[in-house]
Amino acid sequence: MKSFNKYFVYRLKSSALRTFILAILSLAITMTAVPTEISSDLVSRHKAGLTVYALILMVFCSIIPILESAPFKDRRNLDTLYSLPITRWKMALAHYLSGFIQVIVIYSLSFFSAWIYLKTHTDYFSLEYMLPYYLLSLLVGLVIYSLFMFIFGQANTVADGVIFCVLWISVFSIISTSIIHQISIHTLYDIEYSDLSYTIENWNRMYDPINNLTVIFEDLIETNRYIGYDYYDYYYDYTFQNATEYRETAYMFGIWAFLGISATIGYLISFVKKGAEKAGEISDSWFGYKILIPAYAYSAFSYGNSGGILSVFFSTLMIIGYIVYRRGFKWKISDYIVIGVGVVIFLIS
Amino acid sequence: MIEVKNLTHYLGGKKILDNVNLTLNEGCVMGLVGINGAGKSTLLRLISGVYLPTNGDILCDGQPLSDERSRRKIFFLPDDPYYTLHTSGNSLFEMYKVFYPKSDRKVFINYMTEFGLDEKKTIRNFSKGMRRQLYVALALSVRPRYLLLDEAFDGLDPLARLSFKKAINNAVEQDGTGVIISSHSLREIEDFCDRYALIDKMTVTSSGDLYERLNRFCKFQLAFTKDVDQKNFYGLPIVSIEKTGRFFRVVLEGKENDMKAILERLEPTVIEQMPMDFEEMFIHEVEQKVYNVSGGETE
Repeated sequence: MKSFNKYFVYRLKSSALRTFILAILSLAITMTAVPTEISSDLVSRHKAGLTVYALILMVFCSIIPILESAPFKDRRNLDTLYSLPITRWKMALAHYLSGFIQVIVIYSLSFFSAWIYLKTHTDYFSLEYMLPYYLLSLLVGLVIYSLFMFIFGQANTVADGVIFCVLWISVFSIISTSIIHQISIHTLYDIEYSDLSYTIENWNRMYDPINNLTVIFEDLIETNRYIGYDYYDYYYDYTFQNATEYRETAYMFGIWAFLGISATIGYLISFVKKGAEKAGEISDSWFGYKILIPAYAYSAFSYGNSGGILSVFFSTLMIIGYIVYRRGFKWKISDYIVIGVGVVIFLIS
Repeated sequence: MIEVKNLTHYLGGKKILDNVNLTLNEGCVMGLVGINGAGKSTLLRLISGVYLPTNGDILCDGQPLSDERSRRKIFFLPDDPYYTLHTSGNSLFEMYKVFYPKSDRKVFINYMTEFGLDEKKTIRNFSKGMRRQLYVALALSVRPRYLLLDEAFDGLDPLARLSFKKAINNAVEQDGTGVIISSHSLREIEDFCDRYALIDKMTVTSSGDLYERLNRFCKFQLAFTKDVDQKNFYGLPIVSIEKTGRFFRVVLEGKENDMKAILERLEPTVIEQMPMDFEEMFIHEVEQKVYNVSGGETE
């Protein structure tokens, strides 16, 4: 492990300047947003700024994997990087860990600075929950980070990788919403959209682990600090809701933990197995356009059933997707088949 | 010793190298030659571990390349090496120092000074030649046992080439470094290498001692008082023939004294032996031109 340790330390050192700049940037955002949120009288209770920290965690868990893995999408870089005397397993692991340490550093600086601010400027939050929130948010952040490492790793160019990441963020909610849309059209009964969509959307959207954790801890940290409302009524309602939320969230975290572990393993395997010659080529992974374009295509047709601007929007996205995927207008028969299958599914449903 | 055994490699489903066998000993400088797209860079990438071979083995001092200790003995200088906006000579040296325990900062600084480069400056504004000089300084300062140089002379001015050759020669003589250098500049290869390997039709078609190989050929210039038909040369072991008026320039395969005696039978006014160069040998090897008894040129 000597070469791993050395390379890992080298990675940390070489990314120090970037980490420092991003940390200062996120600190500036936090220290601007948190005092504003605390003093805001537009909400029914004082806010401790958890959504700000959550947003910072989400953003950097999405961006750092791209920054950390981007050099591996350029064949010229690979000549240098892959000829270094270190196994690809160790190299992959070093980039994975150093990237997440960057996330931890950036997030921690913002989080603890805001915590100190809350402690010195307010006396109405249950700040004893801040540390558990911090630790748990890092865990769920690691899940999101791993997913983005895996997704970006599936691409052969930086542009494809960024597109994969953007499309995967919302692919599940788009599909689930379109399925619900179809069901509500073809059944005799009106399906209450929010009933069905609640489970599907909340269990599949990319950032749900952080969102849900933040909602839970907002309740814990801010719950008995309502402004101008009867505390006991709200406390009862929230307690009742939380019992359901906790149970669902527990299941959800189990699924996300599984996805996070799978994504980490998938990232490491694909990093090791992927040939350097793939860099810069068409991204033909099954976790890329091959899945994303049909998914978006189905959604496009599904929404198209009701007409309107959404169908145009999704159809345009699909066409752009194919142009990017095939780097032009030379589409293959399989591309037309995919669209054809989408049409058939649409007609059947 | 680097041994390439029965190496076959595909890129994007297309066979690039087929059953390549090659050996590089320590202290040898091997020129890797071949036409564009022959697979020279691919072979160097395979030996350095950038590509994983589809079939076959590559051993470094008897150990496979999957062993980090083997890879630590090899340094690959690609045609267009990596750098970022903030990369400086120092930062690159620090990266390589992580992996190459024999790295010597003094040697690096000495070469940088010799090349007139500032190790603290970011290299994004360096010309291609300056970047190459920087990487040469790196390659020599990490003191690998085997040095793989892809298109190493590209972008270097004559003085830089001279410094570069001197530096490589020092590494070969003092440290016994084995060098494989791919280049289209066959004259540089001839000046610089003691061995060669020719890649053609996806495999190494010819390899060995460069001078031994060159000595198998001889080149003559002949002048005649009367007009002589090219057909008069048929039946001789001719590699190439070029006619300008009453002058002929011929390359033959065989010992020079024997060939001279044969040519004198054609009664030229002047017969002069000329030095045979690697470029002519390369063209012969690649084009496989054969002049047969019946006359005419066949590919």
